[in-house]
Amino acid sequence: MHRFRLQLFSFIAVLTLVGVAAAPTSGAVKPKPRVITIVVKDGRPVGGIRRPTLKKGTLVRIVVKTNAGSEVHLHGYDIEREVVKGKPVVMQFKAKLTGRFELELHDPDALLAQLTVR
Amino acid sequence: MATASTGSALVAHGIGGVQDLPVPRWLFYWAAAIVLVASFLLLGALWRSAILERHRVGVPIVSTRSLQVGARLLQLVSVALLALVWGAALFGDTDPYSNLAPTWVYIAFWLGLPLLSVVFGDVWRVLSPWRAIADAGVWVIERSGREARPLSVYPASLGRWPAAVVLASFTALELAYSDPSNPRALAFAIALYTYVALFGMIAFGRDCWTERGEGFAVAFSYFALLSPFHVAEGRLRCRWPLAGLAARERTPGSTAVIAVMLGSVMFDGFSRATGWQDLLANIEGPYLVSRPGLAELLVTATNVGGLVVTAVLVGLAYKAACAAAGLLVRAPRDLGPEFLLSLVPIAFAYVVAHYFSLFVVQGQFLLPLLSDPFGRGADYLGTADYAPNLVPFSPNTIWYVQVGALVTGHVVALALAHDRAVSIFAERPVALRSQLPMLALMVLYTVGGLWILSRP
Repeated sequence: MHRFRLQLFSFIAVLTLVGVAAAPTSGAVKPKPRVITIVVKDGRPVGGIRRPTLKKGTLVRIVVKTNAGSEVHLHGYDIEREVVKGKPVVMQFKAKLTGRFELELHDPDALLAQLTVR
Repeated sequence: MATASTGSALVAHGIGGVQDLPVPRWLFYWAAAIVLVASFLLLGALWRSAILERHRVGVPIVSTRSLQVGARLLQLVSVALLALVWGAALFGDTDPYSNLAPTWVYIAFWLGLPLLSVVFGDVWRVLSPWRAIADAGVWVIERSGREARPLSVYPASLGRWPAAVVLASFTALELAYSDPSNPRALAFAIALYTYVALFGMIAFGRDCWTERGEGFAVAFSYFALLSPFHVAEGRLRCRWPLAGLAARERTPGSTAVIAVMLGSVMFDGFSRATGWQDLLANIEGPYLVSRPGLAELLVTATNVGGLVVTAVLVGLAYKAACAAAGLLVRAPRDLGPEFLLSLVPIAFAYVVAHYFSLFVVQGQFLLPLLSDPFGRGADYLGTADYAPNLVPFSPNTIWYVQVGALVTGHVVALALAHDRAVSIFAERPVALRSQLPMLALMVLYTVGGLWILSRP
């Protein structure tokens, strides 16, 4: 009986240790964002206007690689990012609003994608 | 708050960021089926004699003279608002979302007034700042002991064509131009329109131009016919709702006005769909970087073309249906003027279906914008920090309102046309026969409208 208790105690102790050790890592695992990559050449999205559909609440990361333009703008969510030469434009957000949203390039102005969140 | 800094080229459609999701296909099929069955039942069974015409005059509520002071006050407010909005457009922040003008013009004015007119009647008569300025001008002239007379006689054959052109131009600015919410562009448009409206009123008289050339006044007065309130013989009167539409509309160019009202909303719908956007992208694509000005011009021209073609098709479809009805009953005259006003409920249904969510969402921005109309960080009303709810409705709610509006609009239009038919044709079988092409037309308009809403 005594031995069994000891075994139980050590078992719980080990379990707790493992739990504590595992906790920071499991807590740190972020939900993976849905990545939408758009390559823009001379103001036009390669492969045409993109039309991804997402579920409400999805974490989205939009990556725009462009050789022209001054700014990328997602309407509705109103996220704007300047275009820096040689770097992809990245915007990450949680898709909390439902509806359709246009992703635009400015200067030259062009429609890059139409995001549908349902 | 939104902070769009540059122009928003492809998000034409006036102003606004969130777009409705397309109506799902199953709902479209159900709605279309309901439209057909309702049409069939209405046409066959109900309405044996004309009812509405008898109720067009209604009962008097109050003499308009007792409302005079209130009306003058509203006119003052309206002129002050025009000055404020124009000032904001001309001198305010160039970001359309921090400037009062775009949201005021495209939401408060262009969507708010149809609603006010449907509920309260022809309120634009009192709320029009241009009419108010003309009234003031006449008052000054008459005070100085002279007679205020128009400069010339309006050519009757022009009818309402000037109003149709005005409306088409405004919808082209809203839906075809690449940067419709640019405050400076709006400042120019407001100045131009003020000039045209005042010129028309000075040249042909206040009432004449308001009824024939002032496009907004004409459109809003059509919506006002749905309302139970109207003014006749110096009295504000209450009548059956819709009874105002039980009348002939003979002024030339009226069909064009209605066609623009219907066609512009239809075009707005399908120009948001994927097919049209891909078309525009292909047209402007080759010139986007090398000649952005040309790219913009091509997009605008294509949109104007689409807008005009849609309005023309809508108008021709109506003319064709009336011609067919005329042939079927061997009518001695054109039936066009008889049934035109029965399309007004469909026009209003389109406005509700396409814009009610935009109106509610973007309308909330009026609170912060009125508190800081020029976008200079002011807070006159203490509402500058009001945070609008960007998703006040679920997609399902929006769909049901859209489909409900279109189906209701169609049924009401059909009932009106039917009421006209039994009023003008002595024999019931003839009346019913004349309604077959009308039925086909209205089913076409409504199912077409639903189809556009369901486009991806």
